[in-house]
Amino acid sequence: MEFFSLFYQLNVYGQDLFYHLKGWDNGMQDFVAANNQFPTIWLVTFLSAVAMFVVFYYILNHPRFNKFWHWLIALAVLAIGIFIWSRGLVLADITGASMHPVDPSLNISADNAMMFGVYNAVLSAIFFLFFSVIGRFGSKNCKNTPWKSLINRK
Amino acid sequence: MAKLYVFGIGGTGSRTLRALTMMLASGVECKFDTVVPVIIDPDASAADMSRTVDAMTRYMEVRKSLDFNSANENRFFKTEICPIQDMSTFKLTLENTENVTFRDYMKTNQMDAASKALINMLFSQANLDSDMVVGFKGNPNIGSVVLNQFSTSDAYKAFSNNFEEGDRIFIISSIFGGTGASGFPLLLKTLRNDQTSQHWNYIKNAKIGAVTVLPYFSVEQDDNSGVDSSTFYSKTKSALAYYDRNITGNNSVNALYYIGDSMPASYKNHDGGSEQRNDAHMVELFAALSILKFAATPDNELDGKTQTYEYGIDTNDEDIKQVIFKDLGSETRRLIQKPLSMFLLMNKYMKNALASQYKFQPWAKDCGLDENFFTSQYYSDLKKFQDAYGIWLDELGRNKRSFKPFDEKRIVPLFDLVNGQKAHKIMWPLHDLFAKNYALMDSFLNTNWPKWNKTASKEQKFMELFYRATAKLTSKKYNF
Repeated sequence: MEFFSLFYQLNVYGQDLFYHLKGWDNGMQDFVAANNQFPTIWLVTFLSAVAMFVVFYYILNHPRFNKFWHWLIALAVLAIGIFIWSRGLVLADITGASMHPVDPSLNISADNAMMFGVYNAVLSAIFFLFFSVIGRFGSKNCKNTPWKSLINRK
Repeated sequence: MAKLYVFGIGGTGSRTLRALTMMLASGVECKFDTVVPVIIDPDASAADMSRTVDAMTRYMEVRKSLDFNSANENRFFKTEICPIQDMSTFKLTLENTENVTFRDYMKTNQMDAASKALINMLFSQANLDSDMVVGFKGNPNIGSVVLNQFSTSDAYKAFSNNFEEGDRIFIISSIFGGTGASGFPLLLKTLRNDQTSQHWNYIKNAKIGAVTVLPYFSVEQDDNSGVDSSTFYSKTKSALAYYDRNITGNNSVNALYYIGDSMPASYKNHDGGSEQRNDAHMVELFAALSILKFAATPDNELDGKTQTYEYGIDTNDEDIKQVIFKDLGSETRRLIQKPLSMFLLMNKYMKNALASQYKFQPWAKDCGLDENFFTSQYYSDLKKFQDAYGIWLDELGRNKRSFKPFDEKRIVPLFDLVNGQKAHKIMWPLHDLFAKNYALMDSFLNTNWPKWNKTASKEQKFMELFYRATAKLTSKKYNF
């Protein structure tokens, strides 16, 4: 199992969609690496979380935007953005408007697209939470968001 | 460590000590580590004196929780203010002046006829019938008799017992009233000549400085009052002639500072007591600066003949009604503009932002500054002192002539606070560009300060945070 697919193992959005995103070619009865969309999806999700983390903690880094619910807003903006993008990506594949149209042998519906959007949004939120835990100590104004940091220089 | 004893005589003495207290609280540099104020005022209920004593007492309360070792940068409240050792009060109490007339004090009824005749030549009937409970009401001839008891007071004895080699003395008095005009020469004479003092040999050789305040206010005409400001200038002339012979003439004082204002403020006419509550005036602020100047003058510059100094502001406009920092000479500006601005920024934050922010800001959370701290006696004392500082600045600004370096009532934009001074925009780091007003203060307070003393008390950390943050802010915003 290659690295990027590992993050999408949980079968909550449909086995067929997993196959499709991993590059299943029905004619070859195998996965085609060139059609594997997971690296792109993972990178976009991961880098979006990194970007949101950097913006929240180190660029905006605002003393009036450092409460718990401000952090929740940042997380929600990220998750919603990723949800919209992920769902849109799958819907485009379903309608054939993308470079990776769905193989007719796979049964993928709009519901699967919705669930994949939710899945990827949760994954982005987990990334954001992870960075919030490990990387906020250098933030001047938000170091105690969402909860008090264990590292205290004062 | 050497101490600077500051005798504040009369109402002007108290008000000048109030100005000194405010400046020292803001961290204006004093070359002596300890200032020992002694207030000499027969008017025990004078509101000006009460306010000064309150301010100094609160200063001591705040300061006792702080330490000033090398690990700390804070200079707010750095100079120690304390009463004379073994005394619990800043006041030098005069005996037998309460509920007696001057006649009773002199015991004229026990005098023989010749003495009575002499008394009647020297003092008017109004003088003799004067009740001294509110002071000498502008009559130095009364003061010169009553204040002769300096050397027998407990406070003076405690002072002379504790006086050490290297200590200095400074005397604040006005020249146009009663208490100050008579008290200054008498006190000086006592200091230099009272051989019964325990440490007289130190005292007689000590460096003594004095500021004598020339008329800078007048009072409304009131025939029922003992105070008549039309006599201020004539009394000043007489006293100056006396000083010329007996103060500077015999070099009994090492440095004498003169200050006054040709545009006098006008106050309501009160003989004294709780109604005598004059607004702070910039002349008192500059008189207080003379104390710091004296403290900073090396011993060798004070040897020999009396050094006399006058104070002026750096403007071509003689009729200037409102003085700001830019009108001050560079030496004064360098000395006071940064600390006063820093302390006011702290004041504004405490008043307008602290209550809504301390639960969320890292500076408070990391230092453990929680509700317990902000409801503590220490914080309450500091808050009250800051309120008094705001009132003092407000009074300076509304008096005539006005000293108004700050728009102290301004809430936002916060950094337009310093009159005549444009605040620079902070462009970097980026997050400080986005933060405005009190949020920018929070951002500076949240800085991870180098050489931070993690083991300091909460009180120390709180003061240290505000000192460092406001120092950096005033430097970046105003180039102070």
